[in-house]
Amino acid sequence: MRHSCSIAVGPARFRIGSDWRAPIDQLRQLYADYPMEQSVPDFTVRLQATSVLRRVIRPQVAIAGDFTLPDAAPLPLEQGLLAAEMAMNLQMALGWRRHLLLHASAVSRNGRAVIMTGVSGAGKSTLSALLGERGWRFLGDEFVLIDPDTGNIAPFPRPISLKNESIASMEREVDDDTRFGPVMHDTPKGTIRHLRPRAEWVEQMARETRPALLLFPRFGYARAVRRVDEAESFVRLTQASTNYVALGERGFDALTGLVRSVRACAIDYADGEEGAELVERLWSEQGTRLGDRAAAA
Amino acid sequence: MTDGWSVARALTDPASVAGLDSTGWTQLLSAARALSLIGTLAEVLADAPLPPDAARVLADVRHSNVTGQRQALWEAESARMALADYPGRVVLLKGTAFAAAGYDAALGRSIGDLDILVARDGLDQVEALLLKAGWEWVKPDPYDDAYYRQWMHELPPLIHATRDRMIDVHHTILPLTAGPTPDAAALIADARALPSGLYVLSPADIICHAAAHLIADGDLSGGMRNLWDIDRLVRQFIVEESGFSDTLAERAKLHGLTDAVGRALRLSAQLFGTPIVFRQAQGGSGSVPAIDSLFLRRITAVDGWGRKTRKLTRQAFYIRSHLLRMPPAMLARHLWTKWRKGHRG
Amino acid sequence: MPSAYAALPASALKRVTLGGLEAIYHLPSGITHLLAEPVPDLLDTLAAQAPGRYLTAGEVLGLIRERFDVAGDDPTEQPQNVLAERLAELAALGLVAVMHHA
Repeated sequence: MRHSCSIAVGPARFRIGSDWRAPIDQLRQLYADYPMEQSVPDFTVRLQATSVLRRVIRPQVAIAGDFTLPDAAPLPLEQGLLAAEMAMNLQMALGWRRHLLLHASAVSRNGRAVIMTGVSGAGKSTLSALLGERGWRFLGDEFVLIDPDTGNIAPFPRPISLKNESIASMEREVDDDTRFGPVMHDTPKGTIRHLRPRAEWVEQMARETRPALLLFPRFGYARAVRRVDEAESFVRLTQASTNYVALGERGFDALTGLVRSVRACAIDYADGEEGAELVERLWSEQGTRLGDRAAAA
Repeated sequence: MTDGWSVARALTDPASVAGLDSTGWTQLLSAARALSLIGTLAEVLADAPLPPDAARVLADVRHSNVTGQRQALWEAESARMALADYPGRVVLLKGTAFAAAGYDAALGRSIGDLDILVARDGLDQVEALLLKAGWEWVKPDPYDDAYYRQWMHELPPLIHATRDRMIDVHHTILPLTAGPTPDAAALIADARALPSGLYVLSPADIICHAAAHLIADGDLSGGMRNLWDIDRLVRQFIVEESGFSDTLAERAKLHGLTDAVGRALRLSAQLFGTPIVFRQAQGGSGSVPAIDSLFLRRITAVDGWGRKTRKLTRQAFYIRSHLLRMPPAMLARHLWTKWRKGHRG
Repeated sequence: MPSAYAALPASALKRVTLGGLEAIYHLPSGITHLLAEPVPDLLDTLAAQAPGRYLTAGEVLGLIRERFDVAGDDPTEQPQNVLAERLAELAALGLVAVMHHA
């Protein structure tokens, strides 16, 4: 294709080709900290014109690649960056086999991770971004990758896709303007702006960490915490996983192993501040529990 | 330049990939994926020396091959259980048939929907039994429905409510709108029984079906894989089936598919060097009719980005939802007894 | 004749207890089932038999009565009939082997 680049995020390598220059330039900027050397990629993504005419007249970006959805609607060229991100997500969701993939965000501290999963809009992405600015290591806001052999999390720290109100709240939180991507208005998900992860999170992205706490956050509700038992966690995570079925027995082992090894809670919170504070509280309780166990051993 | 021929070369001569650099590998893998031959390529290259990053990709593909074929065979088994009370033969078609019969053509082959063939006068009963066993209509559109029943060679597609897998129930192997009218009764009568009680078409009929499929496939999007099937099957059958060449000629004539089989075999010989088993009066050695060249151009039309080139209709790698649907919390619903753990005390 | 049932070979199922339920991975299909009592007990009972031995619903009931209280919520339902239904469901899912003419 006319324009292309290569990007590695965590263990996954992408080759992105485009009929236009702009989306590739934007990707190079957004992913400036990531390895970009060419190698045989895990996935190929194509941003292509819906027709020859549409390359120049009111250009429309069709999302294509190794794996595509038959009903994926094209996006206007101004949202080419979003199209690239969606296409990369799609490749992971449908094609990745080396880890159990959970549609979730995660942060880590002292080598132990909190996994946060929920439907779109539940706040998992914003919560992980917020915690990342408050001393946690950011592992990813879209996918959590569980290694079926070790049960560890392989970080997948993609640029954080901030939506609507969370854009302003993160702009207040982050001093460094250069970490933000362009503002994209009127996308299918509203206004979107990417936040680049801190360079050290990208440098450390090959370093795995261990899941310790599983949260099912819900944003915009009155504060509440409820324990979630193993069976419910299991069912909810099969629904949050894009490749559980495809992994077969390895997926079953990884997921049953995960839900049996971590404490799980559903948390409702009214705003980001309250959410971050709840995570911190549950984390310190968890720490006490781990400490007790270590002391007893 | 990478195209379908690059993939054909890698499949027929695995040693030929030895000289590929990273760009060559990247393009080969994309082209093979676009042609639905990545699974086959991964198996063919299983023992070849590979650069580490290509090896990772192909290892993932081989893993998917295993789960994909397992699911396909389970769908066949589920249909067998559902149709236990149907007295007629249930004949597996295409990829599921190759896998169930253990044919070489199954190696690495991606398998989508379950395709079965039953006698036309058994359709109503088969339909009723499948509906009873949890399959449901994909599109409850009366127009589509009538269209399928009147003109197509199959029932409208059914999807299983909890397993999310489709079944196509055929009563013959070409749409009634197509030119040739294969002898469906003969297909079923000659089918071979598997230990499970299901059937597969006879070897000659399998080739006839694959050839019919090639000509019925309007944009030839699955043409390359279809021809690879034919190549693998022919190589196996000429060794294992005595008189295969003559039988194939007879069956092709019976089904009105002599031209289709002839063309398919010429094309697969061009692409994959398939041994000659089928001689037609027309055309001397070495001369390929012009229309064959056109077919080959379209069939091999893919580039190193996985784009279908030469104005070919794009083929989506169609993936249905992978969401696991739990069987309805089966017994929790009607727990009818009080089960108390431990001994009665 | 009533249908009779037997356990699958141990290699066909992976069973993991998750709180009060059991997650069962069925290898031949790649399908995961999440099952409540009494299903795990039924599977255990069948698995405890000699290989190749098929049991009718009545025979299964006889065996589990030794270990569990079996009392129907609905007095008009015969435990044996309901058990036969459960076993038939398990067979339809492929989780137990079935022989239709014992």
